Amino acid sequence: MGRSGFRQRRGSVELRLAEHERGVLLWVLERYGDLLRSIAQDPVPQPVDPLARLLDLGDPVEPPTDPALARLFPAAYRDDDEAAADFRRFTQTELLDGRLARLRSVLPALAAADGPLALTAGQAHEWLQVLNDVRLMLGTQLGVTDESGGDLGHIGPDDPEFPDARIFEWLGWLLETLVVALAARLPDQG
Amino acid sequence: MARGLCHDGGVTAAPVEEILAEEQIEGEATAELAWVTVVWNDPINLMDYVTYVFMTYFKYPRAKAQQLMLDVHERGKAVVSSGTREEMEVHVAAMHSYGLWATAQRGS
Repeated sequence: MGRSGFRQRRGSVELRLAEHERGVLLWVLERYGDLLRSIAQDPVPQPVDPLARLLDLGDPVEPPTDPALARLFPAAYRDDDEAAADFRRFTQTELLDGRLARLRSVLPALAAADGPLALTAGQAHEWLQVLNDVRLMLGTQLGVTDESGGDLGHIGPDDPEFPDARIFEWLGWLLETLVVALAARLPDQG
Repeated sequence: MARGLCHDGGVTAAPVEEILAEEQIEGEATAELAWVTVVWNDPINLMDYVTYVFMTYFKYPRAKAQQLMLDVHERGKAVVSSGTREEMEVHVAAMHSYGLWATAQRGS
């Protein structure tokens, strides 16, 4: 059994995982998918304004209330709620579809893998975005803040958040191996 | 920024229309670059990941990408691009797809 993680191999990127690691990753990816799909009900959809429908303005899209969804779909303007609302109305569906498409690409491949997974450059990039998203989900749910700086040492083995904290840390390590593998291919090393 | 038009009291050689047109062109050129994409610090994204995103998406050299990442990390934010509002909105959407916390705003 070789060491786990992503690495460069013959011009492409390869992912190796122990069986229990693959199980954990599949589980947390499913959870990420559940979170993404829950956005349709967050916030609870309001009846469409008949005037807006008449004018074909498209339905307004409210910011998600769930903290992890709010982190994945942030406001594009800080001090301009109207511009932020317009941006969300015209881009959030596309952003969600992109995330779901990447998940639909990586999840079945991982589920079907019975050995090292060889990835194209495009697939490696999808993994990069998906793994980072999953870290954002777990980190937000664990309350990782600027003050804690990502240090979850205070969460002990008896804490209900202990498994998530360990997975979060492991995902950080896994993502780092992917960044290293991908960065090795970049022409500019200066 | 904008030059005054009438302080010469008619001594100016160029016709007023010409000066006005010139002002307008300058104003448009400034307006086009008047928007910026800002990336804000967040405690979860890995530093190497952020650097990699700046290198691959914006095609910045490693040194510049790393400096911007450090600015985000240490100063709380960094202007990563400037241009038209439409261009900035494309960049902001892309940054969101990478999980970076980005906003568009008028440049100062």
